[in-house]
Amino acid sequence: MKADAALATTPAVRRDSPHAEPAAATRPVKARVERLSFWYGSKQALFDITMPIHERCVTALIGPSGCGKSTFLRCFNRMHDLYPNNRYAGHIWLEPEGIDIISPKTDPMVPRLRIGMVFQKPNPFPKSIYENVAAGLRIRGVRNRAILDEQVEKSLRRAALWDEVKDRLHASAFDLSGGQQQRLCIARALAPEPEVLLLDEPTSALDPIATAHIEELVDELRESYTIVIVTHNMQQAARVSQFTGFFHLGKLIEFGETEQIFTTPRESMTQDYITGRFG
Amino acid sequence: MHPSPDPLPRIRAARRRDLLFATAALVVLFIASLVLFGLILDLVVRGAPHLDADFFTNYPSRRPSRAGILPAWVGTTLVMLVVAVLAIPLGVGAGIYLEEYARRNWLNDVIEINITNLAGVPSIIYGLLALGLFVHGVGLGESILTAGLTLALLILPIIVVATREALRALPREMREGAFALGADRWQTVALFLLPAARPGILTGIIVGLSRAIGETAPVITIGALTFIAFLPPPPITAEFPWISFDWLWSPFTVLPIQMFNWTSRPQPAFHELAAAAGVVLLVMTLAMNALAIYVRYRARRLLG
Repeated sequence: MKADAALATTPAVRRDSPHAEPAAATRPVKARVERLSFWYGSKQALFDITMPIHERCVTALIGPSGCGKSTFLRCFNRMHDLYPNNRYAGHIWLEPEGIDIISPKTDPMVPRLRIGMVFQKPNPFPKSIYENVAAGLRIRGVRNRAILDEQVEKSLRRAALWDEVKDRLHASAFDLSGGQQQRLCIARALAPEPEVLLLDEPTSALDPIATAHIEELVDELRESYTIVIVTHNMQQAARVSQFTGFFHLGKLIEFGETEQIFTTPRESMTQDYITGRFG
Repeated sequence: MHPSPDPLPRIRAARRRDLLFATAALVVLFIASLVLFGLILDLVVRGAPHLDADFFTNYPSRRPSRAGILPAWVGTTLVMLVVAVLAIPLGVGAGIYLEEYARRNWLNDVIEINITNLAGVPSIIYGLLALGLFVHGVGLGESILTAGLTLALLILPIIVVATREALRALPREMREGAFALGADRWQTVALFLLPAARPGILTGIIVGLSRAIGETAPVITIGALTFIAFLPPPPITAEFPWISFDWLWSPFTVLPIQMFNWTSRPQPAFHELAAAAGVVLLVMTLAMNALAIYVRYRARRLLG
């Protein structure tokens, strides 16, 4: 299996590389998911999920289509509240304050103001490139032109898009290619400086070159952000993440350090999935 | 499924069908356009000789040579002003509420069905309602305000439905994108949804206003005058506070009523005047449409 072959060498590479980190599991925790269940109407989509989200790490969520990984991701910013008859149970504790994101007492705007999201399909607003990136700041009441300009440039640079768009900031966002649009959406999510970045299959609609761009980006961004990424692509999970959760039929089958999940999975189901025996 | 040995006959048949349908559609289109252009041409040819400055500055008269449409076009303009000021914010607001704020429950379902049905109620019914409610009930009299209220009511459902449909047609990703950025409901609507829905909403507004400008029946029902020899008081005055709303309470006439009045006279000269007034009405409607197309074009430039 390609993923396995690539990964066999990963632990050694990691220990020697300049990116070497203290054992990832000792990293502080940004969010703790505790016994989370979720229902679409009467249909239960998530079952009793407990896992940590480590600070300034990339946590990948993998699993076959319909396994609930996107549903899980969308709990973090209460996206499910936009549609009627959805129900949560359990807790997602957002640290350091320990706010329960999914408690009915928590206004959904609280997590949304602190957690950014990038969607599967690039969804820029029908506005200029500049206004797309500035949108999150405008929402937060920032009017000062200098601050907006500065933050727009900074975010576009971090999203590795600045050089391609700096001469046409006021052109429509729809003039950009798909890969550029997705990086624009990342810049848009970064501009308000969120604590956590949720990526819902951010490269599924992109070609391999644009995908490589985004993956490099994710790797750089984890220096400053806590990232949770849903992906269909196991190589991608192996390449960009430090932790991986494997979902199946709404249950978290296995969670651990990415190396361990891909090299010595504890569960046979995880093994079967990453070696391509099902999914 | 086996491919037929020779696909050519099938392709030829398909081509023939396409050609047949296209021809039929063209013929229908041609007939419809011909009728419309014939009507407009007839109107212009008969009305054009009367379209001079005097026609716009004269009051109606018993003598066709001296009759003009001054009170009618002023009345139409003022009534449409009232209609626009009332119906646009109310209609768009109601549409936004129903689409973005209202919860799905039986009460809102009832409201929704009612609004859709209201769009199909004959306009004379609105005239009768207004006669009872605005003219006598509230005591607004046979005034420009009453006409504006009545016509605004008439086109409200059109604007509400258009607003809702324009909002509903927006991709769900746009809404989610805005909320995910931390926007509250109002910000989502005002900063993202409304600008994107503007072309559709504008179309609805124009369809509504175009309908209102040509309505005759409800305006007659509420007692618009057919012969009027004075103008409403001007909205701008010489003394403080320089703006006056007295015109709202003034009796009035509108272009369709002036036309209706002239066409029901026996002298052919008046029929020509009616045609000229018709041309003016058409131009006013087209001007409104042109304005909307321009705004829509500007709104769409950003949408790429």
